[in-house]
Amino acid sequence: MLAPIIPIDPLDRAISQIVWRLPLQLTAEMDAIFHLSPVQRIQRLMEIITTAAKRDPKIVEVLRQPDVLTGLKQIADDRRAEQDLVAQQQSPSRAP
Amino acid sequence: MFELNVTHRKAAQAEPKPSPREVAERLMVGIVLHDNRNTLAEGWAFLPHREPFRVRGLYDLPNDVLWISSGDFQDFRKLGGAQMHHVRRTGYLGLKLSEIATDFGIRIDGHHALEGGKALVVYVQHAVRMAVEVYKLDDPTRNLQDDTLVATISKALPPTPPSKDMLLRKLSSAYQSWSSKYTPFMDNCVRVRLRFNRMPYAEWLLSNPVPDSGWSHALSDVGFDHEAVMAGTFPPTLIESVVELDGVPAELAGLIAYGFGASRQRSKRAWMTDVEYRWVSRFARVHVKSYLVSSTCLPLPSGCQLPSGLTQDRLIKALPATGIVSYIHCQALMAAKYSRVTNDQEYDVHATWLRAHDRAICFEAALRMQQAGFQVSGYGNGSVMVHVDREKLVELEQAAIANDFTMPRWNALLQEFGYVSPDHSH
Repeated sequence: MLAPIIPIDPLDRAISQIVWRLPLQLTAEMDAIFHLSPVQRIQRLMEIITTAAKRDPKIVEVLRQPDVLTGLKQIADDRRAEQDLVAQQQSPSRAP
Repeated sequence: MFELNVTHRKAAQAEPKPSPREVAERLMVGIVLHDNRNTLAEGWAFLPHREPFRVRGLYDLPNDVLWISSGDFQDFRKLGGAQMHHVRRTGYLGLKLSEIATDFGIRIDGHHALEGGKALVVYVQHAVRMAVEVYKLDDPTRNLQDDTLVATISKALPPTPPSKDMLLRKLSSAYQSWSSKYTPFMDNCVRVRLRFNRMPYAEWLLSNPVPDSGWSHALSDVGFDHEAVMAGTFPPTLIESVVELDGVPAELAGLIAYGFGASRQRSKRAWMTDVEYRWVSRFARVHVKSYLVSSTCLPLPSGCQLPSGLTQDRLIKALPATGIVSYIHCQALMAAKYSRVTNDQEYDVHATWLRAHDRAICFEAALRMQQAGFQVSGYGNGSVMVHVDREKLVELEQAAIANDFTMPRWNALLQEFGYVSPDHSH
């Protein structure tokens, strides 16, 4: 096995492989996540991947690679936690 | 009257300035696919999410949209397209419309134009809008006047310090953007451009250090430390060299393509950077005649790095439009700049070194593809062009994925040649 030509994080590589396997219509929808919030981005990405995976077994293969699905879930959890934290900080303090 | 003007001006100043996102969202970008791109006449005009409409020529196009025509540079100039304020030529995004379409697996040739154009225009508009937003081009009517978006972004980047006169010709002689290898015509063959995902490629390219300043010239090879150059511990060096390829297997010598570009080489390749020296001297004998050494090697200035809007989120990095914008960014850094003094194109130190890194990595990829049994016809700009027998397309897909090429969209290409069912593509 040859070393990668360009150093890429394995999760980024997997996401990129999935994006370039999406049907055209879904690839165009992917571009639209640019204007979403970080939490919405990962939610929309997961929806798009789920839709595409039902029709393309190669996407399922990529998802089954070690740490891909768990990595995506981790991103979703981290972003949700971050959003909750920001919401907590912005909401008026309710002193007991 | 004077008071009235002042009142108007105050009112204009009081108006809130639209945010970059609002500016981008208001910008409409369309494409025109001419039936015959050499005439720039009849064709289909496309706007995202609208029905395409026929146009008799460029003059039929509404002027509230920025149009990108499939007309090429020469025809565009010859037939007056370049004089139209709201129309740009096919290479506006640093890539021809047909190249972007091929990467996405969209066919826009012949009768495919009507369906293909509808899909392509969505990506093109996304990319232009994204560039407007991340580079904060707050006034598109003023900012998007250039012939290409590469030129526009080039202006948004900090200017490179001017190179000394003694360096100019040497840098030009060391610069090679595309490397061509003669490939005979093969029956039943398909030409496929394999491309790295543009965003990680751009990040990698821009992470490479470049020489700073303080050049000193050694008029012979005395003091040139081959081992240190090979180990990357020697300071950045511009080397006057003679490359001897006799004894190198013909296929490999052809692939090294020293001075063989896509078109006529403008200046003789007599100089090379240390980056190129490192890989060329692994295969060929390189005689050093003289060399220039820079005192320091620094990372590219932060202003030359990709804008944070593209890099801050790994999901944004994966978007196709991000890839196109990052490609344009790299092209803006690597492009030649016109000099009024010499009335010629000049290459600065950053452009020459980034090109050298690009050629080095693309050669490595091309070599792997050649060793895997594929016929390589050229490489550069983060891509490798391969001629392949139609029967070997599936093999090529596997080799391409193993080497981290993400483009073209394989589903579409394999479907075109009957390898997968349409269900998996559209």
